[in-house]
Amino acid sequence: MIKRDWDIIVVGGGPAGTVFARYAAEKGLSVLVLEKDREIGLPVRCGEGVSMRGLEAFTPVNPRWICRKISAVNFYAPDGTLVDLDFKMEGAILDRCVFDRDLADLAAQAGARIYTHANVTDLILDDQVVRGVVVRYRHEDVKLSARLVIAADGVESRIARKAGIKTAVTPENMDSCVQVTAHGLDMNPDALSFYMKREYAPGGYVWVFPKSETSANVGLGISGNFTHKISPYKSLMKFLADTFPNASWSSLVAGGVPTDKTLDRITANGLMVVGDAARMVNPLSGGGIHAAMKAGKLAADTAVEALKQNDVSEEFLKRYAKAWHEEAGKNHEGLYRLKEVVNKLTDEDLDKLGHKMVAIPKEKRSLTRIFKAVAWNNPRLIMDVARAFSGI
Amino acid sequence: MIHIDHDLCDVCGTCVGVCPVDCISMSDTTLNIDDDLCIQCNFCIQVCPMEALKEETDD
Repeated sequence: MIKRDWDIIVVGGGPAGTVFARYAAEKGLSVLVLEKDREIGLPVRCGEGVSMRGLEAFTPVNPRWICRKISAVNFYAPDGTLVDLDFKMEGAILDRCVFDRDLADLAAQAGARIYTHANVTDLILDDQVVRGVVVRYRHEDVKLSARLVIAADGVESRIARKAGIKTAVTPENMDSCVQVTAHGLDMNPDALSFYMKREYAPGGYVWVFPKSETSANVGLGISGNFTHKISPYKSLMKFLADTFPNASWSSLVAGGVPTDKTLDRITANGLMVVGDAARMVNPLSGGGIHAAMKAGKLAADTAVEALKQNDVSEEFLKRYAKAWHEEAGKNHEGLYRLKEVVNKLTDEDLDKLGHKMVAIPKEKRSLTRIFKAVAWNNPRLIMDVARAFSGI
Repeated sequence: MIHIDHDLCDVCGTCVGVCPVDCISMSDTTLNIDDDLCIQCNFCIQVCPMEALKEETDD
């Protein structure tokens, strides 16, 4: 039987939810995390690539979270030209299953309670203030009350909608993704590889993120603008047949990555929205783990203060929104504009760019330089690039 | 009406994230569309990575 009254109920047991839960529970609040899936950490709908620096900001990194350290980035232009960059930061491919479970473990050690197979289907609202949730648990719809609810329910982001926040993104800002964990690959096992060919992934890219010497997450994301012309599943199968014809795979998963700007509203009376649900994913790379953890931490800071002062009004909770925009918001908007620039590049543009990049010494290649070359070669995009960089 | 092919659906939630009227619900194992609320915008069909959603014809 789940206890009925809580200080805080967190909907969703991904990194945003469990990081929030850990920080809030550490301050002595009673925190319940409800996860709809059977277990935390699975299925892994994620390429699992991260920078170490971003992780270390939140928690000492346990070596068992890391499948492989990364030291290089390889971009393949549509014509096959390889542009290799040294990875300036230390990168890693995570084992999300172990990682997510350990984050849950840290939350539990801090005193949070976690239930899985617990599907939150509705919010309890009283005079436009969120007062709790309805959770379907073992065939029963159970009402639980909370002083504050955290919507950490990922790409679906239904919980915040029930408090009147518009979270739906348009198809152009939803990358539709399919990934396999492929084995028996002949690849560079120390590099993140990106294939930019529009034939495979218009409005996105193909990634090969090594998990061992010979296995990798191989996936692609296609902007919803293009998916009526090209099926992500079929496109990935074609990429595999063309690039790794002998590969087998041990998993096949689908997933959606919202590559939008952060929601205008990430708070309501008695509710805060964090992570993918708040559309905090890096719109250029599609990476969402760091942002989710950052949001979890920032929201917990505000939650602790709000409950101490017994004020969960949207007005008070906006402190969290302010903190998010100060720490990450502007950068996020710049990345959104860069995404728009990249999406306008044709295969021909990308080939030219690839040739230009390989002509300059490796140590001088950088993403900034790539975007400068984009502007130089594509007068129609100069303004877009300038706008993007002025925002960062 | 939108038809869900449950054999192909991975219950990943991509369709839910674009539904403008919030008519798609999901558990850990199944997707469900409320036909009464659906406005036939077909965004869900458009973004499904697995081709699991189709517009149902009358025949």
